[in-house]
Amino acid sequence: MDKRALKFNDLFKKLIMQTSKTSLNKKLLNISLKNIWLSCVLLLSGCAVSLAPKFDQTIVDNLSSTSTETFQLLAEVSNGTSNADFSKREDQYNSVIGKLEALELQINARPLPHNKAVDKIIEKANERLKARNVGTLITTGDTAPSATAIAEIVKNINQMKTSDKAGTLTATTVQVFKGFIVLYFDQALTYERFLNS
Amino acid sequence: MALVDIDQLIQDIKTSTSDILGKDVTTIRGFSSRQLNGLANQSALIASGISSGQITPDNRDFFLDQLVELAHNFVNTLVGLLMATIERLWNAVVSIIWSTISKATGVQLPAFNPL
Repeated sequence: MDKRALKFNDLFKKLIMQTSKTSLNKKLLNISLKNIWLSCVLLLSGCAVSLAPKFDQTIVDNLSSTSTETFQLLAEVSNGTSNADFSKREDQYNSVIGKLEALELQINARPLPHNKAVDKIIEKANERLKARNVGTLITTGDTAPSATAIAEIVKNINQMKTSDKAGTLTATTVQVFKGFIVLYFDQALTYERFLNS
Repeated sequence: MALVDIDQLIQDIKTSTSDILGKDVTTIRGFSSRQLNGLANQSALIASGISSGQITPDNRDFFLDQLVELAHNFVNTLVGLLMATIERLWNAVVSIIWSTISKATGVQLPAFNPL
């Protein structure tokens, strides 16, 4: 092929590429606003996150009924006790502990969402707390705070049972136990009800 | 003519988020107040019980540990409540945008499923 033909081929190829680019640009410019909006919508649809577990009415109902039984036990021992008649109350202690442990299991059986961004934020917050010698404070990613509250109530009832058996359950001691139990039930109920949006 | 009334969209988002925040902040404020007052009362009661001899050494140690655990779980509960609030706010904002786009484009979008 002679040199002029080669040069023309070259130019023609460049012209074709230019024209294609122009067509492409036109196509891009011609993309309707609707399609751009649709792209935004599709992008947004992947942005929904789950940060809290699902509300469960059964858990709230069981919390209410278990708290009633717990406070009935506390009312019975409110003036302090004598270990001589501990055997009369032992079944009541066991019943309350059993129901609380079943409730804790029910709460823990519910799936807890995990979000990488939130886990990172909690990690950073705990690092800052550690730097101030506070230790790891925020552990909300592993267990629901309501489950932890119920576990602590179980500890209180067990300690109360031990004190009762040992004959050291005074009216003041019962008052302190009751104070802790009330606050833990408040944490559990407030959290569980709050999940109901 | 703009496809979306930006000012109206902003107003809708503001109204929705204010409603959610107002309600949630009231609940959280009340909860914090009860917990902090409770913690203070427990501390005073335990101190009084120890000095009067009404609380045995075993129970004293248990109660002091419990004060720490109670405060710890109070913080964790607060964090949990805040996360639930953030999720509600996020879902509300995305839902409003979704609805606005659907109306503006006349395109039947797939149903928004908040998580």
